Amino acid sequence: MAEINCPLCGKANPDDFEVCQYCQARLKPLLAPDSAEENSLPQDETGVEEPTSPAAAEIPEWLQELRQDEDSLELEPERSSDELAADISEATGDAGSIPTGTPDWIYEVEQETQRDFDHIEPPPPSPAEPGPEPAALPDWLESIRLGLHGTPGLASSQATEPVESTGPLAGLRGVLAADALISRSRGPATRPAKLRVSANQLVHIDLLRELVESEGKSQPLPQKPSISSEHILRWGIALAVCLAVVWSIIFPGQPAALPAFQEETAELNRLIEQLPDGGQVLVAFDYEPGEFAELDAAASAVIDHLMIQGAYLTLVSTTPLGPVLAERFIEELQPVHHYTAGVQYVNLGYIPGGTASLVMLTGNMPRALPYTIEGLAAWGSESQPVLPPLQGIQNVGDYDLVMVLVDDPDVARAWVEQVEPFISSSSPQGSLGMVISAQLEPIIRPYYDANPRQIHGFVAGLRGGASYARLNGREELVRSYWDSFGVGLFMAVLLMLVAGLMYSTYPLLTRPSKSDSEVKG
Amino acid sequence: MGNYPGSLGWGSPETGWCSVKFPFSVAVAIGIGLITLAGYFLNIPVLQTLRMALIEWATTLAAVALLVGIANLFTIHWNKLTSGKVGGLYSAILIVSLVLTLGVVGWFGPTHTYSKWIFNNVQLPVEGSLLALLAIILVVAGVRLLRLRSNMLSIIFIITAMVILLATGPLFGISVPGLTELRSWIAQVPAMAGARGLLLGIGLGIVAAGLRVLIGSDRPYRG
Repeated sequence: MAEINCPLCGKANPDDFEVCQYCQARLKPLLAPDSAEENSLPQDETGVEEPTSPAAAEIPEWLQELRQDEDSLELEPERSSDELAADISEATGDAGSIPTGTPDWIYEVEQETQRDFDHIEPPPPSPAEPGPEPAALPDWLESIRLGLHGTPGLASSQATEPVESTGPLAGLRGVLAADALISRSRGPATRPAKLRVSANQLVHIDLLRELVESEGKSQPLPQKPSISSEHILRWGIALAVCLAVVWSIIFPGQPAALPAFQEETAELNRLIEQLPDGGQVLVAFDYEPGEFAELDAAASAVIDHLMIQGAYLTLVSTTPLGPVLAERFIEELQPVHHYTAGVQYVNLGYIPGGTASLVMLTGNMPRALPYTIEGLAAWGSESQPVLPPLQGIQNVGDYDLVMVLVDDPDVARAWVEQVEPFISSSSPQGSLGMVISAQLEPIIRPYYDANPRQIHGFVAGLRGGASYARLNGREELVRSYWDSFGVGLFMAVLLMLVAGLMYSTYPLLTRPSKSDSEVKG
Repeated sequence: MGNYPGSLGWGSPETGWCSVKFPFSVAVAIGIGLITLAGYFLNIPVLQTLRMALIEWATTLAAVALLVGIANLFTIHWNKLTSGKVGGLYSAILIVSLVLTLGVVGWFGPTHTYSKWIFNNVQLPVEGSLLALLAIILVVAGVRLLRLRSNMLSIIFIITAMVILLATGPLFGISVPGLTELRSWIAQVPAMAGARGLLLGIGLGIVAAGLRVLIGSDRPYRG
């Protein structure tokens, strides 16, 4: 007995079953009814019939011509259901013999299975249930269908398609025909899973993998040697410079001569010499504690000169640590003059605001700096008179001389630009002098060389302070610095000279000679 | 006044004929800047008084800013200390030093012996030592310069530095003819030429920065 595989579950069923006995899926395609039944179908399925309905009468002529053309085609005779069934059984290999290509054991299993199903008789069709009524399409729909299938190719292919025999679509041709070939279970097409990768791409893949894997791993830092040649070089240079300076302090030799004074130094000396007896001088300590060594040495001779002249000093600062530096300077570096706070000098402390604070000095000084660093009312009160250094002073223009000790170019520039114009315009005797760090000399000198001068004299660095001390015959103030300063500078120059010569000549000495290169060539 | 909070202007943003955002702070900054600038050039008593009053405010605010900075420094290092981060020991040292100095100077006054002792024996040696290291570092840099970059400019730089250094110090009482004059020429001609250019650049930069603030193009107070 022939069998047919279920298109849904794939199990074998007897070929006379309409539906699968396991999953109730339809086994056979909807075949065309018998010729008798076919005759009962509307003529429009197989032939042309004049439309009788009013809708058919309204068909345009072009559509009727198309229909006539379709009718004139030779339709391929329909294949009967028996012929289709034979095709199906042939496709499934049920030919009564072992199909070619099927192993014997599979064939035996199929035969046993077939024998098991042979005794099962299909349920007879119940006579009480009449067959489905053939569907009758309205004329207008039928005319559209004819119009759509009006092409010869389509018409011929449509003629070969089976006609639905059951259900609501009975009588229609080519409706979802379950082809027997569909029942063949076919697995998905297998495609090669292996990619075609070139060797270069493999290298790149490995590189990327290594990069990704190493992303989360911490790389150990390369171990540096604890003592390298750079360390030795630095320590050697530091040791040489320090030893030279200390040696000159411990074993002082013949004292070196102090430098000759420059024009700007002599000009500042002249300004101080011209101070009146009991002249009032504003001294600004605007440098950081780190620069105290250079500025103390440079300013010692200048402040000493002011004290010798008996000037009253007013100390101010635009840096927070300036007032303490000023206090230390007066008390510890100039003890021989016995200047007393509140008598010969007054420390007005820190004035905040940078450049704005300098403008305050040109306005109302009693309002800007009302108290001394000790907390006394500097400008007098009901119980206390004005302190002597501040008598007659209302702003910076009232001072005979303004002296600024500074290490910052911006601060120095602010003094020149904000205060000096007010001093010059207030009194013809007023002057601005400076004691600056040596590094500021190129910045400050243009103000001195200007016409009219914006700075009336200055001392730059230890060299300027030494020349000023020499000018006043007070060499002992800078002697302790000057000799060791010179030894340190000389050692630095010597080291640079030796290293420069060595690094300049070493490549020349190690370069292969011309004869050697020719021999090698 | 403005059509929306924090703004000055005319019209409305919807109409678009004056939709530029014009915050109140910009108006204050431009107004104060113009008043202060005019006080420099115009000898009008009202302007002079107003200018000095505004500058007084600036100095007062600067002093308050210094206190705020100290409080901020304390807070940052206190948080660092209490959170157990790396370097907490240094924060502890800073806080102890700050509190100790503040207490001593605040209680005894800045001119008392204790306050001066802290300054002379802690502050000055520490800062002086740091700056002294700079001298060593500069010598090392001078020694290594020709090894790292041996070209004409480096050679000129090194020779100039050596001339300036030799002429600045006493050189064991040896007088090299022309050395002092060469130093003076270097300091007064090429160095001052560069310094003048630098000062001109600074002046132009200040003018440009001031104008940008005055026209509201630059708003450093915006935060």
